[in-house]
Amino acid sequence: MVNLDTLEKVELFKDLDDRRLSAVGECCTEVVFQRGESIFKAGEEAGNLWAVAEGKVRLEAAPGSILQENEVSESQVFGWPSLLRSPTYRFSASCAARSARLIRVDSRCLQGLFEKDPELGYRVMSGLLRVLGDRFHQLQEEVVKHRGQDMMNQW
Amino acid sequence: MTEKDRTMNADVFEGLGEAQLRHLAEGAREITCGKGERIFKEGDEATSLWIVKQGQVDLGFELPGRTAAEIHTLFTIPAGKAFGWSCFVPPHRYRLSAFCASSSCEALRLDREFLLGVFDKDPALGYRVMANLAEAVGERFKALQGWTTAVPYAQVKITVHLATCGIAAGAREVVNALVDEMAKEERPHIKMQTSGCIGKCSTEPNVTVQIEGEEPVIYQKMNGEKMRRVFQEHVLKGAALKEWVLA
Repeated sequence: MVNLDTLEKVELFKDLDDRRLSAVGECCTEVVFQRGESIFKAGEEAGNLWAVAEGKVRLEAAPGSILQENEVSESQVFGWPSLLRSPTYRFSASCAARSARLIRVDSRCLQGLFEKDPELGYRVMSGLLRVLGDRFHQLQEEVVKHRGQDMMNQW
Repeated sequence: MTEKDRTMNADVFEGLGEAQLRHLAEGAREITCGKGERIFKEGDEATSLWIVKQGQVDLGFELPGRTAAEIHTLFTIPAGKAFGWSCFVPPHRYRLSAFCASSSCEALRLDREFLLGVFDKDPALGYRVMANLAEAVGERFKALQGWTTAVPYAQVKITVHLATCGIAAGAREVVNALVDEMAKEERPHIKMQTSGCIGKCSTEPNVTVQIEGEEPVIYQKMNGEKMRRVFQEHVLKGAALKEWVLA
């Protein structure tokens, strides 16, 4: 169980009332990682959604990717594939600060809450779509930039 | 259930009940356009979610000084799939332009304000749609990430030989399997076409796979299952399946 003050700062849980926050808190555990420590690897089965309470996390793509790495800081979430039907992490995550305090959310537990309380599901999944959409647009911009440059160079 | 309700059976509405689909159908507008016609432009305010009802829609970017017809396609959206989900993501601007890529396209347009109103009244519906949309974006993210890690793709042309002898021998099953596999992958560098008999009726259905820079490979006595394997192994991974190649 994670306290409500910490939980309400997480971007996906910002607008939830205390009753719903408490329910979500039951699915959460706090975990501390030290600099460089691995949180998960790309390709692993994604059982948890993660949020940063303190510190920073580095997300790294497979070698050769255009969008090589990304940083996630306080209140942001990562590990979004855990809430999809084929849950596999798309990036590797590691601690990028001296230490990072993270919230580990059991995705099955969270999805169980969504089934019982669809309004909670609607709010959280709307937030997740925004997070995922932002990351997608970032990656897409990079692809467009690279392809556009390649094409202009060919003119 | 009316014809219009049935067309609401898109991937993003999976898991919804008939009454919920009917409710959504009330706010859907049907749009028809011809090949090459622009549906929206990159940078436009994203006010609507779209569903391809018939045909295919290309999403891509336009280059300065080039005509709209020279769009560089990133995704091809087949029937039954949604596009324009940026309407739910701030700052609510379309990031790519959308064009009709088939001889004609039919699409359903659902305004964001209408959808948000429906979701507020029926959060269970809102939850399903948002979860399905996240699923669709996740799949597209995976595809995009795959493209950025792989070497640039060569152009691929797959020809299914569809003369009477080919059709009699089951070429339609081959076409259906191929369309199915292509829809799953959403890779615009792979093109499919049909053509007449190649004069080898006894080995129909025949399929030719032509990868840019390589000799064309003709497969013989194809069926749906073989087509799926050829697509996965040869088209996507570059390994021809020699046991089925026409000698």
